[in-house]
Amino acid sequence: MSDPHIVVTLSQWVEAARRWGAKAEVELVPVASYFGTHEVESSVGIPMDIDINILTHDEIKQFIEDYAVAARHAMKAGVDIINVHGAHGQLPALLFNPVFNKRTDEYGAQNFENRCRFAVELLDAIRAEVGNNCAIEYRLSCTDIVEGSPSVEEVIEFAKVIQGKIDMLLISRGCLAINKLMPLILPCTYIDHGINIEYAAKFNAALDIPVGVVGAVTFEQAEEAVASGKVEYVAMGRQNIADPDCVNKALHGHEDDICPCIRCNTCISRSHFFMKPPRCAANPKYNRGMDYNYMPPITKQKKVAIIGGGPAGIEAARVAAERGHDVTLFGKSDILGGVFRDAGAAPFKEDLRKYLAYVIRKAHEQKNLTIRMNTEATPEMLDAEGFEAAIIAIGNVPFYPTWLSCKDPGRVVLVNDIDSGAAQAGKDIVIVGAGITGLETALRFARLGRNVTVIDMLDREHIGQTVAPINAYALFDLLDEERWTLMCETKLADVTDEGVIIEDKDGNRQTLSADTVILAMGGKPNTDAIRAFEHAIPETYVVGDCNGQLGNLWNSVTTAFDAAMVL
Amino acid sequence: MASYDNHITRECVEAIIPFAKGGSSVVAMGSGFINKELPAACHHVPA
Repeated sequence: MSDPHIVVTLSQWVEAARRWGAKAEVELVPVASYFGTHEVESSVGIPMDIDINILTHDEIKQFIEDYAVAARHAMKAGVDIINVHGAHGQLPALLFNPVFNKRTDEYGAQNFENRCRFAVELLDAIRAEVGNNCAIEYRLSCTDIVEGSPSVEEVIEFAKVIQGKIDMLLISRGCLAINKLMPLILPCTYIDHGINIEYAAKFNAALDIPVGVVGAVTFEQAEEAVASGKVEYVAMGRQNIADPDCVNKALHGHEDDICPCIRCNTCISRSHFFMKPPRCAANPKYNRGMDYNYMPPITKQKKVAIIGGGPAGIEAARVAAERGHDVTLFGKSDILGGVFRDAGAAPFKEDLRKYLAYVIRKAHEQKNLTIRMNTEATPEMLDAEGFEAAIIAIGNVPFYPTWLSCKDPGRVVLVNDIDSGAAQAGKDIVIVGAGITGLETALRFARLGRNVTVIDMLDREHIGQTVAPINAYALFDLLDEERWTLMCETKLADVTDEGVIIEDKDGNRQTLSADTVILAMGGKPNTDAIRAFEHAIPETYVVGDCNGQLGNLWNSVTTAFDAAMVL
Repeated sequence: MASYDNHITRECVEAIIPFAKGGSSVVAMGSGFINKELPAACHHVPA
């Protein structure tokens, strides 16, 4: 936004944003080092994206000028609203917070006025540039959550100072630079919805400008919060990503048609931790408009078999049928959902259950889709019935260590069987594998008062970091509220009558007492079955867990969607 | 949505269209960077 040439491309974006009547808003922030790094060291020992205590006075002034120049460019591009991000540990928030601010100059923490000064000068500078051509929205954390931070009441006093300089105030919470706080900034699936509403209500009651709220607010909560006067407006990020039509659907009373966000945080984890474009597990078209916004309709209807009734199979079937193909889905069991149904078993997986109910509902609405449950498709069957194409979504084969001395199937069990209720866990549990599935299982049983130990071959730093680190941070925090043990760089050596024999990275062995060993070690594709289908059917695609990629919903849904779109 | 790379590409423009059509009163782009580089002393990337 510092480059005047941004006006050219930003104006194109603004035109697109406003084409159907919405207002266009751009959020202003300094370039942050946290993209792909996180938890950077700071002068106060608590992570800060920008260390405010080593900025010179001139550098602070330069930031204010940079904000103003950026606002000028936004205004020239036709932006309706400038969003000044003063939440989540951004510069204004850090300078207001005496936990972070140890400066001794006029921006220091000596008094309330000094702590407000940067935000005040910044907003004055922006207003001087944009006048009344743009509204200004300020984003503010009701609490930074960091111990010793200003109270909500003091943050409200700060808001009173700036309210005459802004048009709208959006209430969030937390500091983005501190990993363990991220699940509260982007409330993940284990955290309640709408956690900032009651705080925002306090600001709304104390201020004269419109106050809004953000933070996994459901439509039901939004309706109640606005109707009761707690807030004037609600911002939704991830729910819009999962279903960009969600507002129109809610407006017209079609809430059942809204694809729910499962709050897996694949979107923000990819951009903030892995330097990759955000993607959505529930909406495979998100941020891939160049690939799919103008996909031509099919030119020839094909007879398509979808093999597997899990999330990948359901997505492939729905999309292929919507595009006009003659689709039949084959499912081995009597009910759609596959292992995903089991994965949603824990009490804290409500989002997942809602998503599954939605996709099944949508599949049943498809006119071109026949669903044949209790039917195991074979290559011979598909060939005989004249299928021209097949999307293979048969899941994977869970890894089961064959070398174990213990052959008691009731003692060494697969996590899927625990989730489905086919197997039961005892009082002393060892879980092998600390991926998201293993950790969720640990949380489920720790909350039931069981003695839970989780072992994993990875070191602590890498556990849970493959897909959505934000959710892994939440799981670790919630687990730490319970009684559990995590043993890293440790592998399963054997299970005997005496117990579970584990081995650390140096080869040292010890025996743990356990009445149940739960295997959450992932799985591998059934390549023989896949090859047989590939040989029998002229056009085949391998999607979901059986494609050998990461076993998560994003991989399942996206690969299934992509296959259905090229049929 | 966020620009995240300091550029507004055609993909970025395409990405906003579903949201613009979806009924929201305001569509917002996050992380509009005000500068290209932080002051040198602010780079605290761990080794």
